[in-house]
Amino acid sequence: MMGIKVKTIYFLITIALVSCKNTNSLQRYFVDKQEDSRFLKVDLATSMLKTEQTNLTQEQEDIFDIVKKINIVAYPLKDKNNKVEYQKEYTRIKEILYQENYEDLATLKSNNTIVNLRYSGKENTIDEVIAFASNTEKGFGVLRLLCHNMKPEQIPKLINMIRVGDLDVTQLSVIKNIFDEISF
Amino acid sequence: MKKNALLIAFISFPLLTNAQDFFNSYEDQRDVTFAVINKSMIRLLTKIDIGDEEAQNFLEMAKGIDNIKVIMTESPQKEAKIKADVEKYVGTSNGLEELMRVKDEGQSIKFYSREGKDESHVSELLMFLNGEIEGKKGTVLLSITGDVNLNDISKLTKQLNVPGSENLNKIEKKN
Repeated sequence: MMGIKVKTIYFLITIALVSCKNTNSLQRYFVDKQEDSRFLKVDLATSMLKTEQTNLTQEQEDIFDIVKKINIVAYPLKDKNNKVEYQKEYTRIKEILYQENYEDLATLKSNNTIVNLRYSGKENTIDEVIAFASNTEKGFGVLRLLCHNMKPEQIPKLINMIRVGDLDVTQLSVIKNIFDEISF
Repeated sequence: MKKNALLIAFISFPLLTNAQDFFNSYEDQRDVTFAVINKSMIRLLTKIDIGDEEAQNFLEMAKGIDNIKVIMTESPQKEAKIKADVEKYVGTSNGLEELMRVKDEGQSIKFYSREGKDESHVSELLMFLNGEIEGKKGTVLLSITGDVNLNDISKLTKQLNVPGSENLNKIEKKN
């Protein structure tokens, strides 16, 4: 009897650990990759952007209140030699992204590039927006926006801001460079 | 006898793959443009005020859709593969019937559908287009699954921008 109880407890602990691990695995992935020289990375807290920019519109300021962090991790495929490694990393990130916590929004593939959009949270309070782009010849990249109660209506404004490059901060130009590097 | 039945079931099982599987097989293929829009995306879009009333109406109507998938290719080899996959899928799938055929302006288009909750609804709409698209020879395969109202299809056509989808209008008129 005792034996069964202990087993159950171990079992439950394992499950708990596994599920905890799963909900944080993208976060862990980002943290791990900071130390990995093969990856290009950007870790941007919008609070910094806010203080550096003095001419933000109210709208832009509001967006910054909602998007807490921008993370990008990219693995450029520079030469044919790291294809095996690349495949390993690609499989790994795909596994992490395809777990249940993320809602699959859309996938678009054109030429050799695939972009997949996901989010976590609820429809009206989005916690994370993830864009996963990969190109069989150029590499892959993951963009994550960590948000605080983001409402869907705010997404187009946000995308427009990033796209238009309104924000002239060196770190954002790093983002641009990374995407240029991958040049989808 | 039972053994044989089981064997047959096992062999034919792969043939009963649903639209999801057969579409997804194109995700990794070159020469193919592929797009999937899931219900969650449509739901998010309905909450965003796009500012275009037509688009807004479309999104309201699209709430019943589970997903929209499109495959486009200009490669003759891929076209042949898609055509074969469609024929296999339509041939073995339960309830998917040819709805309409159109041959017009260098394009050949076939529509298939699976019955929905009532006469004006379908649970799956499949469009296979072959022919001249913007001056080039190409193939488009469009699939809409969920709760699709045939009467609203013309609203879909305006928004989808998919070659050949304007022919969906003709379905609406027929009904």
